[in-house]
Amino acid sequence: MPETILRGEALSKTYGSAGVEVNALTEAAFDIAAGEFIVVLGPSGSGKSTLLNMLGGMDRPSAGHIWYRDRELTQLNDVQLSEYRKDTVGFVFQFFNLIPSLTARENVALAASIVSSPMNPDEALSMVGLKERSRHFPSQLSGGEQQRVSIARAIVKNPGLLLCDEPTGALDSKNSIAVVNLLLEVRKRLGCAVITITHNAGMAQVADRVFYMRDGRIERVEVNPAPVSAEEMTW
Amino acid sequence: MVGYLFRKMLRDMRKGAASYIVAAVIVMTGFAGYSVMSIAADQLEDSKDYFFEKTNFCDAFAEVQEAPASAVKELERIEGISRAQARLVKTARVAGLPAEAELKLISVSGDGYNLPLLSRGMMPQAGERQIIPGDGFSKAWDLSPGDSLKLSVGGRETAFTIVGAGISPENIYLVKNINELLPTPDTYDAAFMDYDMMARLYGMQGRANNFVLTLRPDADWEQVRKDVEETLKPYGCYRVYENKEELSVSVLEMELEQLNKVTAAIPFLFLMVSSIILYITLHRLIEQQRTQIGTLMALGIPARSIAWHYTAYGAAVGLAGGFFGGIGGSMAAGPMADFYRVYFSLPKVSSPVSPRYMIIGIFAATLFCAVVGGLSVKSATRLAPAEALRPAPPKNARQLFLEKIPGFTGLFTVPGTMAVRSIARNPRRSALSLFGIACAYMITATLVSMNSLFDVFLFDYLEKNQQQDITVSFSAPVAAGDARRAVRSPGIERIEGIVEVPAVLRGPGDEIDSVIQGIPQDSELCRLYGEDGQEVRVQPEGLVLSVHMAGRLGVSPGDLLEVEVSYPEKRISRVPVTAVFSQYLGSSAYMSLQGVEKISEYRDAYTSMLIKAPEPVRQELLNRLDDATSVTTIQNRQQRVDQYRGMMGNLTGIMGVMAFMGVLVGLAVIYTSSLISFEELKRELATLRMLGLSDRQCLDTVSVSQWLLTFGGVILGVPMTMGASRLISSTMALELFSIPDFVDGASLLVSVGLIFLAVAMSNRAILKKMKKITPVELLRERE
Repeated sequence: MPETILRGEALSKTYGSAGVEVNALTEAAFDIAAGEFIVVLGPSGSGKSTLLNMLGGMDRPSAGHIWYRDRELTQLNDVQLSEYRKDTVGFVFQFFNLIPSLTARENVALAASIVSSPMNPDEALSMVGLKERSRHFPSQLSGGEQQRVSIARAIVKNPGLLLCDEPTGALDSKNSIAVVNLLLEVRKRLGCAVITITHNAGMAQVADRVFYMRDGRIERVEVNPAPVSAEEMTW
Repeated sequence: MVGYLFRKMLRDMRKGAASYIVAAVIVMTGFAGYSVMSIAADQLEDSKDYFFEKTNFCDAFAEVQEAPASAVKELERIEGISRAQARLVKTARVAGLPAEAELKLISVSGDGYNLPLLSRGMMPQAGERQIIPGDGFSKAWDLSPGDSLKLSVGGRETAFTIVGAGISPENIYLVKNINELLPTPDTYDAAFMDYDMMARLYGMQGRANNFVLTLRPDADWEQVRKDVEETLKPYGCYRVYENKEELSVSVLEMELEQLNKVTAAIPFLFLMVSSIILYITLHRLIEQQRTQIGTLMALGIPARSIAWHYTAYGAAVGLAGGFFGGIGGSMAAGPMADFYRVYFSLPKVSSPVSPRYMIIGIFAATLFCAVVGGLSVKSATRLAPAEALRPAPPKNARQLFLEKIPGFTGLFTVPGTMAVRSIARNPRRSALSLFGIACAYMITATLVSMNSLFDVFLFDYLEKNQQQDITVSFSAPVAAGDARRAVRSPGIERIEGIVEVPAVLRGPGDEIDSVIQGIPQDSELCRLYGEDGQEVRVQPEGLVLSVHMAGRLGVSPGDLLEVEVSYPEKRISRVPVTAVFSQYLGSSAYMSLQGVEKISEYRDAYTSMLIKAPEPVRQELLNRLDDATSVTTIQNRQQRVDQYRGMMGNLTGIMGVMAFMGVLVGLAVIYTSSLISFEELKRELATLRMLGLSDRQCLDTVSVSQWLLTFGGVILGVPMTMGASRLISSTMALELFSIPDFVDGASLLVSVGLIFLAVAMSNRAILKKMKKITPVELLRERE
């Protein structure tokens, strides 16, 4: 049984002040093991992004606890959370969030430059098949290419956790399949846990487990007995 | 990490280059001004020190009516005086020149003290008819060693051979009296000749009317002065004073003091304006890069590092502005110092340009702009990464308070109303833009009004206060009847005799060495006006003081002043101040002729005559007075006015250039603000274009807010201009002159026009950008 690296307990997040409170996440509890591929599915406003932000140390829960290995993230201060993001987490965003004034390689190298034992940026770009486009600025790349750079930027840090926020949300089906394939490949090569939130139910086919969310709660967790490859996925 | 963020910064700045360049140029201008003035002031100090040392400049002067030259022995016996020298100092008219010109003749001895610094030639030989005119005079009349120069002394013309040209520290800034503002070396300059020659010329062998004193290092000046006055009392001691009180030296010191004041103010003013531009630009950039900030946080880059990254944008602007300002200032300092050296007739000393001001400039500008950058990013880095990654919530549209005025909104089109609301939506940016425009207006209006100010300052005195055409001064007081007869001529419209009495005025605030001018009670040629513009008359008794002098003495009408007249007998009187009058040039005290008789030994005598006469009569009189033995100087007012107008012409040009810079500053603020509004409203503009509005109609969304802010800026700028004028007037007042607290309506209006021109230019530039908008592409873009 792989080691549990991420654990949440009674995790809640409430936005707004008294009178106009919105419960974005309610009593969420989960365990995620190293190397697991988790897909979080749910409609808009179901709390997917809020959960992802908690896992990535991007936001603090209003109640509950999260542990990454033996560190309780909810006890960390801003600087320690920043360290956690730097050393442990790789993010992939729906709209790529590349720095427009840096080239593809520079975007990746920037992330590499802040950790102690990163992957070579060129190697990361090779992994995503963009070595030849490394000197291009984001505006000179297609959406699919930009997302691949975003993945390279996330993996260059050798993260233990790869968090993907709708990584295929802004892509066509062909590019989406390529990106999912890449995420699976990264998981395989780096052994990191991959948690991806999506609207697209088809992606559940490649996951080890699927978290179904509704109204801020993890409604159910399904184990996928036979995950398929990206190419076999029905998009 | 730093390297990549640095590259990001450079590329971001290149993308929004216009705003950063404008901010940097404004910083550069401020620090160039700072460097140029600081370096020029240093070089002037060096030149002055070198000059004083090289000429063995004395520590003090004593002026007497006439004393035996041997009085130096008595003076040297005074404790505190190490050395004394007897001199002759006289004013002589130059003959044979196309204009009225006079030279202040100073005798020199071969003892190496108080000698002029020669720019060419050699010192005059003992007993020879040789002369060294001042550098300015020589240059103006193209005189060289070997040329001849005729002086009219005692009604007789004597020719001298020019053997050189030079200047001494006491003639750095040579004006006839404290009421003259500018030196005019072509008509009044110093000249040096051997003591024996000069004594023969004036029939004063073995005599002196001026002593120069070198003090011991431990001398008690006040005691020395009393002892010198006592020693020279039998010879009619007019005045004993230290070299720093010498008019020429004190003007130089005052100029240096002013230079230092301006040096401190200029960069601050420009930094303030550039910080507004920088803040607006960076604040918008940070708003636009909110998601990037979130991404950097998500990558694990600490908020502190991100804050430093954006602080660096400001620092880079400051660094560039400070660096290029420092270089520009260092390069311009030489010519500026040269200008001052020529102005003050100082020798050129090759002092190296100190890198100190460049370092100070770079450091101060970088720090200041970095703080602005830091303030701009402060709120963004306080966000949680997840929040920073979300687009900023749209700003609430709200009505501007002006919209509550009935009919106000009816003044605008729909795009215009959008512009009005964009002011309310961005209150901080709007307030900063308004303040920046107000600053630009203040700079422009202050500089434009300088030209009118010079008219008040200079020409009011020459054309309003002085009504005479000619002033004839005598070498000694002349009996009233004789004086009138001397100048009487058919066709003369009016003659008034005046008497000038050197005196020390003591009030609760200060003690001032001055000259009291005794004028007729019903004088028509010497008119005095109060600050309210009403004419002020001298009373049978009592003093009328300039506002500046009354302020320094700490007295007002009704108060008593102690007046000490030293010549021919020392007399101390207590005299009431009857009125004050406006005088910016010089610092005068007036009394009636009867009043002067009561406080001095002068009885029914004049030292000068004021004459009003038509041009042909004037010329005939001038020709006749050429031979008058007791006449030392003849001053033609129109000639002086023309000279000053010529000099002011150059200054007007400089002020024009500076006012243009004020307009550029205004343009920079308005354009930056317009550009940011344009960028912010691009999507709305695209929508309006899609709806079928023309470019010009769309321009209203930006231009209306700029016009409104400019109106507001001008309304705020008017009192700021008044305040600046008051500040300049109070801080720049010197003994020689005071600056009127004056801004005229025409200057305010002209400046409004110039600032409006800047708005029109900015709108034109925005319209060009607007024409380049591709609505479909823009609307497809994600916010």
